[in-house]
Amino acid sequence: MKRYTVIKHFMDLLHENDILIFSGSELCKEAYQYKNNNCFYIEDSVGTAAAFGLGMAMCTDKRIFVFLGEGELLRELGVIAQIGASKCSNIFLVLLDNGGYQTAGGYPSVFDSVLSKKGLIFNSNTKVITFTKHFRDKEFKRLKDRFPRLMGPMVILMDVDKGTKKGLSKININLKIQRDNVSKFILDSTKETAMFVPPILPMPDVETKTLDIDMLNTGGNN
Amino acid sequence: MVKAKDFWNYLCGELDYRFFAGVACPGLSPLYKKMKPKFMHYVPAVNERIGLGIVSGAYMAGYKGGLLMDMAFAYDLTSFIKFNVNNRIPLLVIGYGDRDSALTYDFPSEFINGPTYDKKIRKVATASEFEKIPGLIVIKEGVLS
Repeated sequence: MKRYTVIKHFMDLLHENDILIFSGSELCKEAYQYKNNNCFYIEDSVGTAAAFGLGMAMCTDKRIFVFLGEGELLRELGVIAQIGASKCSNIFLVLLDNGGYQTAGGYPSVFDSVLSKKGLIFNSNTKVITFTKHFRDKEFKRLKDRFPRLMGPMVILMDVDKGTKKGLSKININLKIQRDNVSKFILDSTKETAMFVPPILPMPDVETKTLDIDMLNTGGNN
Repeated sequence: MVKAKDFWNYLCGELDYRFFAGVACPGLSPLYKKMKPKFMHYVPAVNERIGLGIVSGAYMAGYKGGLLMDMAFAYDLTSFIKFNVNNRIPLLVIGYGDRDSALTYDFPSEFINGPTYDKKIRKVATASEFEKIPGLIVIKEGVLS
């Protein structure tokens, strides 16, 4: 299946409250065609996108989906271990594996020579799953039920065809506006769920009270 | 001398920087020893770039933060923080080194070599927040205790 189509189906399956980060110039261009307020496009990520998503995931209960190619992941492979160690249940990497660097004319990456792609990720304490077959068989109805129940930290491995969609318009976004929009979307607490535990505890301003045993005794006698 | 405890009190209490990431660096070891887990959140990062990404992501969710880093990366700092400059995401980069590593960049930076660190940090933090770009604080080797 073409990457462009996979992205489209993925976006249909995700919840409106999810945040999507796209990394890489060609990938961003393809995803930009379905632009939304909850999307963050990083054209020149050079390995920052996944960590950026993890930082967001640590501070919100909204699910963060980072779409990236295997070349980008290989550049910062350590991020898999970081994500696994974080134990954040709301971070998902969607790894669109097309076997090469599309911006460099499809020059092959070394990802194909990895003995076990799933093993590489799984051994970093990160869940790994693939929906390639489900997408190919167009089982979207089943996936629609399954997607809301996905729990991270997870890498979703997706095999996609080589090549990019031609004739797409260039991304025309003001990065400052994009930052403000996504930040506003994250901070919109009206859609938050009870899952969220803030990472930073508030300053202690309440005085602690000790248990008064005499009071308990009095209560018992009455 | 700069007491690490006071440094954190100022950064977390006064300036409200609460989210930090970084890679353990020997020059900043007093800062690691005196961290206040109740008032701040620290993420031990696999490397500096990942730490930078994590702090930037946290900023998007409303937490001001900083990156503790080894200034051995300082030669490449401009390209290192390009992501933040492009996307206008401020953060404090805290490292240790000499005066040169603090003053060669065209973003807010200060060199801390004595007890008057508070005004310098505030200056960098204010400029970084106002311009929405990273700010750099370089602490002289041996000044922290």
